[in-house]
Amino acid sequence: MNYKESVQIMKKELSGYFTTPIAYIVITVFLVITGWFFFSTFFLYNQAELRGFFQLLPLVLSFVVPAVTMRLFSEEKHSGSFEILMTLPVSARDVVLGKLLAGAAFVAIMLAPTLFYAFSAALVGSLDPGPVIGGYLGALLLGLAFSAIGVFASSLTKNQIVAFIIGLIICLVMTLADKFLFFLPSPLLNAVEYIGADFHFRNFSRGIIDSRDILYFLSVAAIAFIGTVRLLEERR
Amino acid sequence: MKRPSIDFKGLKERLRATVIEAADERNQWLFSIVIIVLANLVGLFLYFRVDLTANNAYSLSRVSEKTVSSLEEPLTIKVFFSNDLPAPYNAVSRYLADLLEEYSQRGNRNFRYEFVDVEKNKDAAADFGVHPVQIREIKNDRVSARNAYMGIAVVHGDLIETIPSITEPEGVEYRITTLMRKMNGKIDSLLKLDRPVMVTLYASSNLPIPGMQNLAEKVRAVVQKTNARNYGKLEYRHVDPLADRAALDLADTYGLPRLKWPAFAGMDGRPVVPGDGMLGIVLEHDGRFETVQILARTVLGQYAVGGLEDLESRINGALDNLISINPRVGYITGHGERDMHNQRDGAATFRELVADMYELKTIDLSKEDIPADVRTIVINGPRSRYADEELFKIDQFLMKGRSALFFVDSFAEIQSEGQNMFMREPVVLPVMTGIEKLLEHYGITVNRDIVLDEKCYQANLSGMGEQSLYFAPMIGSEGLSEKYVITKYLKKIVFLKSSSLSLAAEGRSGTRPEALVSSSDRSWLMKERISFMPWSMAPPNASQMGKHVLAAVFAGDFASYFAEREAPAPKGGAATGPVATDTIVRRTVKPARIIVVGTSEITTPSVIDKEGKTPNAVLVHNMIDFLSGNDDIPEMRSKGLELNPLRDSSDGTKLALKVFNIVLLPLLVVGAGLVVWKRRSTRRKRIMAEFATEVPGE
Repeated sequence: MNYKESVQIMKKELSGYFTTPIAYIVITVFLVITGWFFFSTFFLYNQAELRGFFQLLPLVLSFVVPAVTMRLFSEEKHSGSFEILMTLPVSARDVVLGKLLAGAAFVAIMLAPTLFYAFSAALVGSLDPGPVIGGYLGALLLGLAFSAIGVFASSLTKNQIVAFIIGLIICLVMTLADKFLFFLPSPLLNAVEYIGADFHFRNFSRGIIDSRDILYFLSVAAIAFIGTVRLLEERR
Repeated sequence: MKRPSIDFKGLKERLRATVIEAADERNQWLFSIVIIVLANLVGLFLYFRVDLTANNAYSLSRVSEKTVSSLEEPLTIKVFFSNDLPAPYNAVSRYLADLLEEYSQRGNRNFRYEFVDVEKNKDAAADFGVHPVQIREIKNDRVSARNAYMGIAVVHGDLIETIPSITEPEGVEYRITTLMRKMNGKIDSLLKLDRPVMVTLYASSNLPIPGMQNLAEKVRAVVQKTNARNYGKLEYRHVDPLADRAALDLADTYGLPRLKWPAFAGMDGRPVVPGDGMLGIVLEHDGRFETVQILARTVLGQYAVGGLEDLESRINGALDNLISINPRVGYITGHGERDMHNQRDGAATFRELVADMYELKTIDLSKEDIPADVRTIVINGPRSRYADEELFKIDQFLMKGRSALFFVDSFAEIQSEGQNMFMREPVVLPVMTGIEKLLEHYGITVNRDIVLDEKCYQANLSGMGEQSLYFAPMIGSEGLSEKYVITKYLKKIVFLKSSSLSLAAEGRSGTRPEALVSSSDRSWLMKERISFMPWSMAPPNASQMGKHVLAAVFAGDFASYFAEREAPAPKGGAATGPVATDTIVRRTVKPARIIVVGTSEITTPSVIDKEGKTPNAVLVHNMIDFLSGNDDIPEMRSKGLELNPLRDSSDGTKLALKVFNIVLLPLLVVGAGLVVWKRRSTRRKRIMAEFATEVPGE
């Protein structure tokens, strides 16, 4: 695997986001939604912590990340540049990795302004930094996993809207999986709970780093990555 | 018989082919996914967890982990919490959920917990003994009170116990874990019982008091319910002393109320014949008994049957005491020590405080030895002299590597009796018990003085306004040792009428005592004329002020007080045969632990509560935990979610923060976008302008 090529592709995709209005619109919408939901209850809860914000993230990112990643392959396929990309001397893995890293980096950049939430909380109370660090680490892993799913969805179709809807459905199912446990017979409970992204993210949001949660997010990203590479190689 | 043969060669070939096929590039993706799934399965059992919270709020202590991972019978925690709790109670609810999740992570397959929808299951909550509690709610800038469910029930085997209200996060883990441990111990004790516990209702059928109707049936029903929750180890019977006159004499034995009445006209106008009778419930097993009182007085001062509404929990409590689930702590008596049954200024509250983990057993050293199963003894404010033989028993108990807690008063206040007794100042007399010389040998001298401190409790005395009670030093974290778990987690405590302690330098008896609690450096000593009247003491010059030790601890090896002295002759006389033993253990056989406190006032209800909520109660409980070897318990008791309430900030600040984060932050991003767009369009225009002349028609 050639990381140089992947980094090149990542840079190209990232600059694509920021030289067009897409990045600014998505980040603005994200900040308005999270800011509104977090700060409307922040003073009511009266606790110097960011848990309210982190708890929103799985659901909000389920919408935002597929919207960011939907164009990564669909657009190339739609405009015809996909064929050119495939004839270039880069492997499918490099291409997918580059696009996946671009998606994840975008999520990281999008989360950066929310550090002001932490400063605000520290300004009016004594903020415990541990859970905040844990929460951001979890958010990055969540962003990576959802980006991988978004990239996979984007590689399935040349229609961006279809790619968005597929990505959204997969992310939503994973976020809400453990909310519908009461429908399930007990032997399935633990398995479905383990699949739930929110279930794993909750630990991060309260300041607990569990190796199983890290392994889960990395596994989700890896499986989606492998799936995308496989799809591209088949088409080649 | 022909044994089935295994074709190892063929199996190996097939395995090899499978691996080669999997390693084939086309199938590599499938191979990778299998590896990922396997890694996740392995990760379920091999994992690590790091708690990033400031005080490790979500990490269970070792005691809790051990308890929850070694459950031998199914244990379910049912949580009855209202959904719409206001702050800060909502944080308690969330913390409890997180903590239970931690228990679940660490627990074995016997542990479960569930949140019960309490609004739909109010009857279930009541059945488990969880009732709504009153909480404060601030709505529209007004404080109002409302009822909410904030309790849990623990079902372990047949047993059911409740924690009726959890309104603060501090000590939640401690309460849950000690309850689990207690239930574990109770199951063991119950299953070991070879004979049932006899529950006898002594109720004279002729008692002319309200509530006697169907009393026997009501009590039977409660006992049956309790019995079903105690492995069927209870047996009920009803004794009517009217029919069995001999039973009346048992009233004194059991300490049950015996009532007498003359002829009088009842409420319904019918004449009541004179008589006598008794009322109460007795639980008996193996020669021991516990009583449950059911006689109460109404608001009009009349006697009536009472306390039936929580009879089940009271019978349960009596049963716990009867089968002694908790380890025993010896409480030395016979020298005017604080009375374990005195609620007013005795040690009754102290006994109730430690009862969640320990059973206090009274020991009269003049009559008996310290039982072998007692690991810790408490000597609480003795007033008269200990005989050498008694001191010898204490010394030798310590030499075995056991522990002792001494609350030593240098002075006793005697309230004068007779006319104007409340007007007169109590007489303060020095106390000599002999304990001092034992302690001095161990390296801690209780001085004949009282520590007064400028940093003290402020009381509002009638007619005198706010007064500094210098004899009640307030001790902050600077006066509390950080080395020992006893005081490490405390923030502020109060001491009362305490003498100062002098600690011997190293080498005296091998171990160096250390200060556990000290007064502030603005304290001084009252030596000659001791009086606790607030006006009789005034702060001296700063040069006479300094820090004084109020409580000390030492743990380690040391020499016996009797090592170089003659041991007192045992009561039964010396052995008569030619074979004699050296009856003195001259040095500790393993490290012992001693705590000495310069006052016994801190064990009275004026500064401790039986629920263990006041810092002083925590201090006293921690002392017993430390001495009993339960070093993990104080940490667990102190632990809770560090509630981080926001500082009081003005509405303007709140609005500014909201506006910045909800409106300005997104606007900044929009601004950045516009800047980029502007720069790009300028650049485009510049390039266009540069090449426009070369493009024909432009």
